[in-house]
Formats: sequence, C-alpha cells, structure tokens
Amino acid sequence: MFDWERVLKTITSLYGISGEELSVANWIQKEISPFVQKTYINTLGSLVAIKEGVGKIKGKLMISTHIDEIGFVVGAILDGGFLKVEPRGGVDPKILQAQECLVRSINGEMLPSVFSTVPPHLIKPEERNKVASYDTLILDTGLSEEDVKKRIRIGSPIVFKAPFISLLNNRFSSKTLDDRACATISIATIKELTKIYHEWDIYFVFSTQEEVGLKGAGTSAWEINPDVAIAMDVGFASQEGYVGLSLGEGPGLAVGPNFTPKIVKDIRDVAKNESIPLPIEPSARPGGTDAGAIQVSRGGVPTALISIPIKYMHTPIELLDLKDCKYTVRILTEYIKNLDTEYLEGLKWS
Amino acid sequence: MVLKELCNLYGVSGNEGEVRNFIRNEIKDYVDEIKVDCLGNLMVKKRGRNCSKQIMFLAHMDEVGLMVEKIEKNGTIKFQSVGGILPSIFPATNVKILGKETLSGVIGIQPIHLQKSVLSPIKMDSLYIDCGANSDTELNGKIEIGDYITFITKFSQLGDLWEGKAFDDRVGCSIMIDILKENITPEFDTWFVFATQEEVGLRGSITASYHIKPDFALVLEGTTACDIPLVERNRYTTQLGKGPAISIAHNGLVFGKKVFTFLKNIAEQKQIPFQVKEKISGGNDATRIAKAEKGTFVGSVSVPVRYIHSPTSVMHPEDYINTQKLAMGIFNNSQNFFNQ
Repeated sequence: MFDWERVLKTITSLYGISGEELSVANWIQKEISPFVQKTYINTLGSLVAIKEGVGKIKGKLMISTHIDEIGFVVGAILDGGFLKVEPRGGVDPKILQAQECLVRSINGEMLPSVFSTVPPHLIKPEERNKVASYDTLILDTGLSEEDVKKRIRIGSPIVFKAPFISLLNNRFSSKTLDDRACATISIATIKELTKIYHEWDIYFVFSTQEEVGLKGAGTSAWEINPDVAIAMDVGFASQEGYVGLSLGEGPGLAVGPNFTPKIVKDIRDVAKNESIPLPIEPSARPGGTDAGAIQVSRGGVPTALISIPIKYMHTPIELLDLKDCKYTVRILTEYIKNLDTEYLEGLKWS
Repeated sequence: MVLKELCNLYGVSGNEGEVRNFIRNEIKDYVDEIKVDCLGNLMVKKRGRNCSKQIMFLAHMDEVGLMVEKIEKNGTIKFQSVGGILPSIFPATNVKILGKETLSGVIGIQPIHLQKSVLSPIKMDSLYIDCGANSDTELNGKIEIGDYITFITKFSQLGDLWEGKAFDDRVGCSIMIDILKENITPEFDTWFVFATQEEVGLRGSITASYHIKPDFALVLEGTTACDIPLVERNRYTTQLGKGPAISIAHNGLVFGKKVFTFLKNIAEQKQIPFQVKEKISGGNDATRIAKAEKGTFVGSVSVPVRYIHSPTSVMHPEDYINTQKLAMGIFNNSQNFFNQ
C-alpha cells in the first residue's frame, strides 16, 4: 500500500521556491529510482523519470506536475535587521500577519521568522480597517542587524513554514500541496505501473518554475517530444463564496482551447468505464498550468489537464481530500493500459 | 525554567485547568499551602518568618483564544474571540478545537485568485474554521457550541529570541515557579497567585485579592512591545532586550510613587537593566488589586513581548533572566517596602 501521508508530509516540507527546486527533485529521484528505468535532471532542473513500456512501436506519454512552491524574496534589510519582502508567486498579503516562514540564508540554512503584527492595544482606530499590504508587513528573524547582514541578502528566498495537519474525512492541510500533491500522485502512479502491463514509455516530469511562467514543463516537453501529455495541477474547490470542484468528489478534467478534445474524451471514457468520478472543469481561457506550455511545444502536443481540488490555494493551509488523489492514480493507470500502437496511429492528423 | 512547557499548554480564559494542573504539580513540593478558588485561581503560600504582613505575587495563566459560536450546515465553524485579537491575524491560521474530541482545523480564506475585492479588510463575520467536515451532522458528538479553540504554535528559538504563543502571561507564571523552586523562606508570608481570566476583563485577580488581602502585591506580566520599523518611535511602549519594564501607569491605574521607587531601587542596587514602560496602554491585574478592599500597594513588572495576542509572539531570553532577577530581588526584599 502506498503511504500517502508519509510522502505528502515529507514532500510538502521540502524547500523548493521557483528556481531552487533541487532538494525536491533529489528526494523524489531517490523515492522512485527503484521503480523506473531511468531518471535525470535536465537543464532547467526538472526531474524526468522514464518508466519504459514493453510495446514494439512505443509512444511517449508525458505526465507533468510541478515541484516549485510560492514564497517571497527579501526586498530590503531595514534598521534592526527586520526584512521587507516581495512576493514570488501570487500570495495574498492579508493572510500574512503572524505567519511563520523560513528564510534561506546565503549558506543554505533555513532561518525561522515571523511576520509582524501590531497588537490591538496599540493599533490606531484608523489602522483597524486598513488592509495589509507588502508595504505594511515586515519579517522578523530574531537576529541582530549585524547577523542578518552576514547571513541574508536582498533576494534571499523565503517560504512558508506550516505544519502538515490531518483533518476529518481523510483530508489534509499543509503548505505547498500546490503542486506537490500532484507530484505525490505521480509517485504513486509510478509504483502502480510496476504491477501492470503497459506498452508505451511513460515520462514523468517533475517540473520547475511553474509559478513564474511554466518554464520547466515547456522545456521538458521540447526535450522529450511526447506523443501525448497530461499535466496535473491543483484546481479551486468549492468553498465559502465559490462554486467549483468539490473535495472528495473526484478530480476535475479541464475542457477548453488549451486541452486536446481527443485526449480529454479518452480520459473521460476511462473514468466512465471504471466508474470513477471525473467532473468537467470548464477552462475557457488557456490557463496558468503546465498544460499551457506543453500544448504548444515544438509542432504541438495533444494535451490534457487533470485538476486536484484544493481549498485555500496559495496559503499555508491548502486543503485536499485523499480520495481525489487516489481516484487520479486509477484514472492514469487505466488510461496508460489503453496506450498501444493503434492508439499512437489514431493520433495522426491528416 | 518551564516556560516552554507552559507555553505549549492550552489555557484560553476560563479553561485554565491544564495549565493549573501542570503548575500545581511543579510547585507542590516547595509550598506550605495550596488553595484553588471558585474562579480557578491557583494560590500557593510560602510561609515567612513573620506572618504580620501578606505579600502577593500574581501572574495570569490564561491566554487569548477562540470559542465555537455556531456550526454551519456545511460543516464550517463560526467563532468568537476570547480576549482581544485583531481579525486580521486569523486567516490561514492553524487551530485546535477542544471539544469532546480534539479536532484540528484551519481558518479559511478565499484564494487571492477568486477574491472579488482584494482590498476589503478581514471581518470576523467572514471568518470560519474548516476541520474537514462536509456537514454539521458529521460534527455531532465531537464538538459543540461553546467549546474552546486554541492556537497551536509550539515554543521555538527565533534567531536570538524565543517565539511561541501565550508568553502573555506564561512568562510571569514561569518566573514565579522559578522563585518557588529556590525554596527560600521569606521575611513575610508570601502568596503566589496563578490567576485566571485576565484577558477577559481582569477577573481572577478580583477574587484572589479578596482571599489573600495582600499588604503589598506585584504583578508579573508579559506586556506589549512594538519596537519594529513601520511603527513610529512614540508608539513603542517597551523594547526587547532592554530588561524588565516597570510601569508608572496603565489604563485604569497610576502606580504609586512609593511602589515605583521601591522597584526601581532594587533594580539599581542589583544592577539589573530595566526600562520604564513608556506608553499608557493596556491594563493588567494590578488595577484590580489596587482597588481591592481598602486599597492595596501594587506594582507591575513586565517582560516585553512583540506580536502579543497573536499565535506567534516573540520575546528576548535576556529579558526573561533580568525579570527573573528583579522578581527574585523583590521577593527577598519585600519587607523593605514597609520600612521606606
């Protein structure tokens, strides 16, 4: 049995702000090496793992999940050693007061820090309803100014520090489920594939720099040149004030210009045949997922996107339901079983 | 020092039992008498050589937190603050609901991508706790309205400083425990009160003063520090690393000059760095003690705490040591207060 909790807990705790994902890539590489034929890290740092199929004429399926995380960088070192920060990726400043973070020092140490708050005793009436912005927040490392200047510089990366928490109904809350939850689904799928017969070669890509413009997935797709690609990312789950996918009721299958109709239909059919819930996620505009970059790689790649619903995206309390992850492993595995020479032929455009 | 253990315990105002039991167990071998009153105050006595005067040290056990106000049909939980907490610190915070079962939960907020207006301030009525339930019925028998909810931050090192929840006022409790463990017989009978309900209106100290009727009392607190850039210098109140803060006045009380001078003289004689609390803001149990019965001499000595009343407050280890020294000096010399 795949130990979801162990893998999710570990993988979400690893440091990997966009552009510095190596420790995540290394950890995954160790975790999956026994189950695949080849792994390597490519130019932009994405980890590629090849699970070879047994067909004579083999197609290539690329499954892409990103391993970078949102965070901040140091914008300025203020008097007393306090830090001003700038976001790297879309982080709402309203959630930041009293949050714990880790600042990566020049030497690679992860220094604990907290975002400032002004206590209710001292806040001015006119400040009470003021909305927090990056101009009104500072980060406190508890170090002297001298020490800060030795260990931290402008541009030093900062990520959330948050506990991995088990909730009711096999739901979990943590930082960085976006998109390490999907990376975990890829790891689980790799282990599942060792139990089945499949013809195609499956390229699992753990891509970098998604949050800053889909860099790792685009370059990996160019290099691999897949026949079909499936990207996996987190999608918005229904919560107070928003109706979207529902936690525990299946991953979403995106429909829209960014997603190739044949692949979408085939994945949908697989889910139908296996009675796995797979609601459609309308996506009218090409979105900000790896699928966007992969579809236009080289002369074009037939591409689909599976979305794992989470609540509270881009916060330290992202929340998912394990059922959706398990459904996704089954969908991928069943889809991969269908991939043969005939399927490859069927992709040709005339 | 048991500050770490104390801060990791859950003791929102009115629910101080876990803290009280821990403290009772820590100090039971060092005291001559233990009393708990109907408000839950833990009052312990160190018998002096002379019982003609009663000295009282007081620190409060309770901390700010939350309470379940309503369980919605969709399984989310509305809450009230217990004590003064700004709504803006709540979003994306981890909590525990202490019901029949202890449930972990997170305080939800809409993702920035979906907010209609990112510039609306955080309001209490838009906040809720999500513990993974799909409906209110799933929570039946687990939690109910009125259950306490606590922050869960663990005590940790933050650079040269300490970070944790509830420094206000477990730091005072911890220092009183340190003094008791020295096991010194004082000149006068000396009571140590671990009080309840400070954060909801300074309530435990009302009945504690009635029980003990002190001739001289000292409140040991964790107080506001706002010594950060972006806050004007004239709003600082206290600063980390500059020693215990001795109060001249706070909301609701002007400390007598006699008390202030007595405390200051001890700090100076023992060469303990100290600061005078600069701004009249906030109030503490001293207010209650001062006006108890015919009036009581009371002083207030505090450890500066940054980001107080949030899950991630910050204090300086040296301030702990120096406040402990000053409190010890006061304990050993309280008889001199009456000779001034």
